[in-house]
Amino acid sequence: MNAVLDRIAMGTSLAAGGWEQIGAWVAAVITLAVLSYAIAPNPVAKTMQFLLVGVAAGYATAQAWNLVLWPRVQLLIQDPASHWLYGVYMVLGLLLLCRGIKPLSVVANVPLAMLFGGGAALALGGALAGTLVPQLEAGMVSLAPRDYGGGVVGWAYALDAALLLLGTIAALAAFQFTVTGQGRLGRAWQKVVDGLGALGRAVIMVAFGVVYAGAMVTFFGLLVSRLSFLAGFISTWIAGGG
Amino acid sequence: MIVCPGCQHRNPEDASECRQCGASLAGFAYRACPRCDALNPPDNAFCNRCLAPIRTTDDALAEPDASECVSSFQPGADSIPPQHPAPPPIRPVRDDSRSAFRTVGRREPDERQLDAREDATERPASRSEEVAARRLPHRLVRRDETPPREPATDQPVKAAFHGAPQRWDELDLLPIEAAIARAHRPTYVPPRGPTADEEEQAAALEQLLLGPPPLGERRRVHEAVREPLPMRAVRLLLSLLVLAAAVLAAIGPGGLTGAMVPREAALDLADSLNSLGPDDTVLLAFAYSPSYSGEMDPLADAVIETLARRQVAVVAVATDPAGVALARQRLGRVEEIQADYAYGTHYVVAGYLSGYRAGAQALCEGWGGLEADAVQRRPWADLGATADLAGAADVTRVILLADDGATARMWVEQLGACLQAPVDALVTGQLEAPLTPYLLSGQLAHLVAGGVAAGELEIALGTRVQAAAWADGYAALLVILVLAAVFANVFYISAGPEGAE
Repeated sequence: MNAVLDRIAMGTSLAAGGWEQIGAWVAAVITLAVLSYAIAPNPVAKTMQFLLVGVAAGYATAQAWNLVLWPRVQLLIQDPASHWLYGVYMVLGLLLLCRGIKPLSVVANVPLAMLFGGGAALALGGALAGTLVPQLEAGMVSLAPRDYGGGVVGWAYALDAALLLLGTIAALAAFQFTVTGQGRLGRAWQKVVDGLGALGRAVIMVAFGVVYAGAMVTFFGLLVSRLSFLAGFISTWIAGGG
Repeated sequence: MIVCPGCQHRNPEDASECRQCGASLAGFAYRACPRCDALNPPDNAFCNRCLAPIRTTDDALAEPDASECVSSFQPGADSIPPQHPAPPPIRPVRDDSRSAFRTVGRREPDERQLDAREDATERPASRSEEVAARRLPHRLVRRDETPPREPATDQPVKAAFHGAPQRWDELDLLPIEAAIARAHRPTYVPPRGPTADEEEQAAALEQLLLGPPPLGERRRVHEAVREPLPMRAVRLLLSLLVLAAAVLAAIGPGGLTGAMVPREAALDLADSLNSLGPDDTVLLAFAYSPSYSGEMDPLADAVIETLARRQVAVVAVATDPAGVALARQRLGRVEEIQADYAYGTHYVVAGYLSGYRAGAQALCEGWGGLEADAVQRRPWADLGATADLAGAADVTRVILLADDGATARMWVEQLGACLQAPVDALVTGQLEAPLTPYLLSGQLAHLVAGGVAAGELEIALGTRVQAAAWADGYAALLVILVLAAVFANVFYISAGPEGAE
């Protein structure tokens, strides 16, 4: 039992400091309030949800001011010649605020255009160079066992590569929704595509199952962490440390 | 009620101008609805209020010959029916021009207004007048009014009233003055009930919608059904079992911790981290929110403890606003455990990279626009951990701690090209499958997910046991899920398709 209590105490971060004890109490109460939603929706849990959203927004705003805006304002004031570009950013940011003023709302289009244009360019370029091309290259695998050293191991890797290729093509075929081909060749091709599509749907279902299982493990882990925190808090409280 | 000829707005009978578009209601002729007596524009085939048909002849909808209608229409005083006060002569004309509508939109056309009509036609049209002019294809003007200018185009002039007869009273039209001044205003007649034919049609439509579909298709009627009590009991039992597994993980003895064997992914990452030394620098990206701390903190602690033990310099950045605080918390905790691990010398919290993709992309040059660290506000050259580095491009390894698939992909996409260092991803359990293709393509050097893998990493690295202590709970969860899957499938197969439904 002592080992269990030691592990619980190690898993929690309850320090002897006064503020941290208050924080631990608040955290415990909020945790219980949020978990009460599992029994039935209630106003306390709803209030905690609002609190979470509000605190997150307020915290993000404070961090943006402390870590992004204020240091750059200081640099701009101290050395404008070297950091004049921050002034441009500030002006663009101020122009963005004009969106709320109807006569001046049009000037907010300038920073918005830069924002969306730059974001789209980065996203497109990143998706092409970082996902599409590398994944296409990774999909071009050799099916020859000798490329993997030959022998049983080589055949195993070749089979693995073949399954990868087949699964990729089948998953793509699952999204083939064109009309049935005309003629004997067209109908035969359509049967091949339909068969691959059925296999692809099975592959996709397996992938969804894996993702769902991963999500379940994640949320189970989060539940365990909160229960560990509560257990550590209660044990410390009972022991007189709280 | 007077329906505006321009915008079809329903105005009260004391209105002299439309309360929606502002156009004058005078100068037009109206047709009274035989059912509710609302005054409708002459073009309306149905009453705007009660939807009763107000055209009396079928040929009223026919397109007439324009020249015939305009030329043959000769209203006169003798055509006024005796029961109505004498209206001024009405002449229908077609007018598409904007200037002509300005004349219409004015109030009573007295002499002064008529004199000033030419001037009035020169003023710019208001927005409401333009809208009304587009909606109003034709109008009626009094005979004593100055006719509006002809349209600028060569379009044929059409009659105001399709199939216009010779006399305006045959049109069953009234000028507004006469319409309002009528002695008897019939009361509103409520709409009649459905006829037998309509009842029959409605029954046929209902049968078509709710009856069995043709071609032998199965009937698809979705009805809200309450789950039977056994199923609700099973659902509650499953929830309680999962909760019990979580409690077992939280306060259980941890008997299975010693039996946990790290898998290849954890062992490879452990070997890779153990190969680093004091000359190496790791860029540690905190891209997870505090909501996932329960799963991500054990991973972060295991890695940071290993790096601290090997005296590897760490530069922490964040693309989540809360990431800076998380970095300080996790790194500071290791500093408490390991006395010779100090801020500035061994680790630095660089700060928050704003702009999401732009922030990550900025790391390709220097330190992503960050002029100093986030804790001591000291320039990079003054900090021991970063004194020899020109920027993030010089780090030995990038370790990404992420709870979001899009964020993880963003890091790989934006930094994969510019940073030559290998990227290791430590993510939540739900991201393992979506990020596996990046591991197979070589864009990620290592991929370790949370949950069970976090415990395996702790064992492989030999750090403190946090997630590994939850092994009992994970084992219990696995047993519950397997049993639930087996029972559900056995029940489904034994019950057959009808029972399963």
